[in-house]
Amino acid sequence: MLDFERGEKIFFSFNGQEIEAYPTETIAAALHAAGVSKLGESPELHRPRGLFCAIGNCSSCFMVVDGKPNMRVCVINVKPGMCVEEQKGKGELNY
Amino acid sequence: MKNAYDIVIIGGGIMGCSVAFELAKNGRTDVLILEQEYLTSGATGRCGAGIRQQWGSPLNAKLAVESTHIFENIEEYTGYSGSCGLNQGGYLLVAYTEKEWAQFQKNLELQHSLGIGSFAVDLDGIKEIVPHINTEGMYGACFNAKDGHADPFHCTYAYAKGAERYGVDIATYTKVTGFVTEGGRIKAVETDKGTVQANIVINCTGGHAAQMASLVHDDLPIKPERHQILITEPVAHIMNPMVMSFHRHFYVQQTPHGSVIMGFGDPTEPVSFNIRASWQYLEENAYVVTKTLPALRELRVVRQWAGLYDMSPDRYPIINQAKAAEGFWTIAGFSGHGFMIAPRVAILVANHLAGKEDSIDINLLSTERYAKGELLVEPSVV
Repeated sequence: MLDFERGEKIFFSFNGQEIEAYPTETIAAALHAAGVSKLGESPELHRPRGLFCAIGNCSSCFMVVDGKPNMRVCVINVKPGMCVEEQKGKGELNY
Repeated sequence: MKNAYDIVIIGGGIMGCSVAFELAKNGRTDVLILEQEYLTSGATGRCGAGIRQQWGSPLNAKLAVESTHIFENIEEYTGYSGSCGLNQGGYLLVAYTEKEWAQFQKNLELQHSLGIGSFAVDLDGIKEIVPHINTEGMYGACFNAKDGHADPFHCTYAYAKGAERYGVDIATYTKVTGFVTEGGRIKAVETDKGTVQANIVINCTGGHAAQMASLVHDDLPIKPERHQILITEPVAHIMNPMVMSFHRHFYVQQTPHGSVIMGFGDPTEPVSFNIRASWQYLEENAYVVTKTLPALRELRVVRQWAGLYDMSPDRYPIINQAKAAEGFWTIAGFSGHGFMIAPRVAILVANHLAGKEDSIDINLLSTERYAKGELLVEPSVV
């Protein structure tokens, strides 16, 4: 039998809402486990966007993570206290 | 493709297609465009497609102003159903040396005398135009709101479709292998799909122009030089103008789609036909550009590629009839700014071949100027 080491339970925020997760998970995995499948909106028609390639290739799971846009949440591990937000359309660069 | 034409144009880029269109408009419709691959497959499809009027010499400025007027209505002008994507966000030319800043003042004087509405801005003014720019090391900048960029593919197709409507033929994937001359006159073009008779041949092959002209024993001082360019992922609108530095050899612009296109001209680039992309360029370009525009650091690069500049000794185009083969014309040597002046250059050439008068003397652009030592030096080129 495989043994999954999930680690200690942690918390992060999604659109201001507290979500529980394990540090071995990606942000996308944690959100799916919490029942969130809409991760953002398409740039032109604002249709829902979610997980697609799951290997950091396709740009479908772009989210705003700790204020940075265009983050591929399918390949970024979740960290305690992380601030994850839905990205509506093209990301806004901060300066 | 028939086996005889009045005029055969070699090269399916912006130059070849615009010349074909203007010739056809002037009644010379028995024209063939030969393209070794597909339309825009050479320098046109690889270029930054900037359109600027802030030049440092009168002829370039005049060509650029009159070309911009055409770009502003190119769809209507050519009868094109698509959009050529002109975006007049302006050009912000930043000065990093005192000498450059002094040259800019001279350029402004010249531009104002030609009715170009460019103006100088101080460091605060620069910040107003591009809020996220790092002005460290800058002396000032020049700005012209009428500059911008267009879509090089659509512009070329606009001219090509317009030319076809007048009856011009276009043969893609047809490679020129040689020429037939008789008594010092061009007679025919040999291609891998057969020989085509022609009264006039126009060589619009950019970086390959000297090679092509050498087939009729015409010696042209045009040299190919690789320039590289990259495009990033799209982000929300962050900058209006093209930001450009001659001293640091870069230009950066954001397309209407949101991706950022930037190029860096390596001053040590050797003469060659190499159009492979290099990691050295990627590293150097990213370093140079993010020093001036730090906000772009967070952007991922989607693609990079290279194309050929067709460099002439004085960075001015060469429009020349071969001495050894009457009727063989070369239009090349644009030195990295062919796209933006192509509309007006095409009119100049078509007027000449149709026997019409033009406000610009075409002979100024012949290679005679090198023999006489009367170069048309352009100080402002990336």
